[in-house]
Amino acid sequence: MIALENVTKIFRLPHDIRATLRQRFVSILSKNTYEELYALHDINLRVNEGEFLGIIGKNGAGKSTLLKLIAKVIEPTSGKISVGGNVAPFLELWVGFQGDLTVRDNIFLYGALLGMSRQEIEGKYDWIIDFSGLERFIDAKLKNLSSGMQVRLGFSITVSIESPILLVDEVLAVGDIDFQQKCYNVFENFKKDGRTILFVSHDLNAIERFCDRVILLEEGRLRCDGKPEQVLPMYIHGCDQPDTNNAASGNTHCCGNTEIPTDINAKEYWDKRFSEDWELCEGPKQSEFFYKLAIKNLPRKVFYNMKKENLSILDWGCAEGDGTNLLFKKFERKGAKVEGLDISDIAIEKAKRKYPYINFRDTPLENINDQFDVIFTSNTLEHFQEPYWVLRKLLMHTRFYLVGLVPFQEQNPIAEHFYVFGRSSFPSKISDFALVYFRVIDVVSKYWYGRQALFIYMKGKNA
Amino acid sequence: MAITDFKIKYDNSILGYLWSLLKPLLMFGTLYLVFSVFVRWEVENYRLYLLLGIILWNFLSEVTLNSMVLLEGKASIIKKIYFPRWIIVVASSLTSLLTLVLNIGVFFLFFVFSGIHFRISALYLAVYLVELYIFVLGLALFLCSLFPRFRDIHHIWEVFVQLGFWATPIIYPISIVPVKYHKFIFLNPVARIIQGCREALIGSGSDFLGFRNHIIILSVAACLFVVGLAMFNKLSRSFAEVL
Repeated sequence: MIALENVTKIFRLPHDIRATLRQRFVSILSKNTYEELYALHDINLRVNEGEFLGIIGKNGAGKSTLLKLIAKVIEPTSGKISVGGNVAPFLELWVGFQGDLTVRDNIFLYGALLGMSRQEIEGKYDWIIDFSGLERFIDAKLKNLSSGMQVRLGFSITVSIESPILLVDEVLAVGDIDFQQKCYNVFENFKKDGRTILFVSHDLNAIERFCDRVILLEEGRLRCDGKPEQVLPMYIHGCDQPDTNNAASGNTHCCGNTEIPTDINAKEYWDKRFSEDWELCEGPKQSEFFYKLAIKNLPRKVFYNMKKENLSILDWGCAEGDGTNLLFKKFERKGAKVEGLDISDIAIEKAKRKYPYINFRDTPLENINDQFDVIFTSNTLEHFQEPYWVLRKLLMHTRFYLVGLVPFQEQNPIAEHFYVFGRSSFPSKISDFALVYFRVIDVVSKYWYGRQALFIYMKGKNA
Repeated sequence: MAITDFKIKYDNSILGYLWSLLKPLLMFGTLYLVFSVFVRWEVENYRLYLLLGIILWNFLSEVTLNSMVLLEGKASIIKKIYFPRWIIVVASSLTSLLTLVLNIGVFFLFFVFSGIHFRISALYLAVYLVELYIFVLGLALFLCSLFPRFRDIHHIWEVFVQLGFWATPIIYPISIVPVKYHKFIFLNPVARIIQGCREALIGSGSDFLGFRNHIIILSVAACLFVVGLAMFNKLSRSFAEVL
């Protein structure tokens, strides 16, 4: 089994490399500048025994880096990697070969590099020669062989190792058709033997044919993870489903199955969603995720102010109250009052059942005269076509803070999202409130992929 | 790996393996010519004295310098395959050890022809060689751990090897050095080893067969080895990135 936990790999790309004394000396006064390249960004991955995992992504997406980390060639900058069992790496081969030696000698050299003993190699020798189809060239110097032949030899040696894990980095393209067929037969056998294979390839046909599971990497992030028929279209069509719910639940078009009315905030629409597919889409977990994200990113001062005595907090757009409950746990101290509000009475019914100790209402805000010290809203505003007017409305009910979390610069908005927030969506002043905090957060999670913006408006302060 | 390296090194040259023997011998020939014909030292069996010194010193310079070259040469493999990195250093040292053994064989040819009686103390040679190997391996590990980040170390070390060659009583007898400098010269454990070997085989020199001498050599060698290995283990993790 292979497990990666929060693995990040940063490559430092110096603007000028100073490997010699003279260079160091000359540039001792100038600061050595470098760019940090996130080759892999917070990757969590678990590959079980016997899985055939395909890894796809554009050039530079971090595929090879991932394999190198698993093969222990390089170490992660942070995070933990555990690999159960031997790894046979088949990363760009022929590197281990010595052109000046014969094919026979190279088999022993390469085998030794991969950790086989002499006896083991001798045992496999005939099989390797046979599989690579190089009988005639055993005593030829390797440099006189064609590159395709060299690849065949390398691959033959690698698959002859009886290691439980095999890493294959885009290499088979070099072999001829017969050899590719042979390789695929080998893969089939590996699968039968229950060995684990990690397979990097741009040959999507091969991926579709062999892999039980595919991950798509994009700029060092794990973009999605699922069955080939789910992931491959995302790669081919440039990922037009930013909401990764589907990968997690295996339900490709999870959200918005219900026909979307032009008036998104029609109560009927939301009632239907909450009664039909909200749980299926992991809505509650998604809510919790967003609330946690918002709370974590609150400025310290606001966070402590929200813990004050008798403070009233309204969670506007509380859905089934899962996020409200988190707010409750965090801030319900010394008699602070946390309430939830949503227009869908079905959601509120459920919320009341789940969290009987919290006060929930299904009255639209217009019909309430109360003011709240803090209004909190997470991923609700984007469902409105004119969120600015909603903001104004909310501020009329706010005494101190309005804290909001919204999707930010969504590239391919989901159908339910009627508004895409950008930097200009947040004026620095609205009536007597000022924007005191604004932060864009990069989110990579199965609940959200992309950016979220956390903003806070505060009363009576000059921006 | 050591064997293949040895093969590659000499496969392409006409004289092949002979080169590994000829190199120290040619050096010996030159120096012998200079220092026995033009300058004359008062040393018994100067031929053997000189040859032994050259062979041992040659081993040190070869292991340390070649291991760095080999590390650079194997960069492409290091970047692709994980294997314990020390294998490279050990492989390089084993190649040189092979050369050393062959050279010692040649030395014994000279030894037989010079008509010196074989003495039981000659067995000390084996002990000294073990000590030398540990010392040199530690040194090579130390240098190689720094090499990928700091390539100059190869050139710097070349100069040091040259300096060391002259600062060690290899071509000259220790007797020409004023006594007050002896302690500096024998700070160098290789000097102790060389003198000890000579004493064991030829019987020239003095008090280098004692227990104390071995203690000093072994403790320096062991320290260097431990430090070298620790550094190598730590720094070799990033070899795939910096090479």
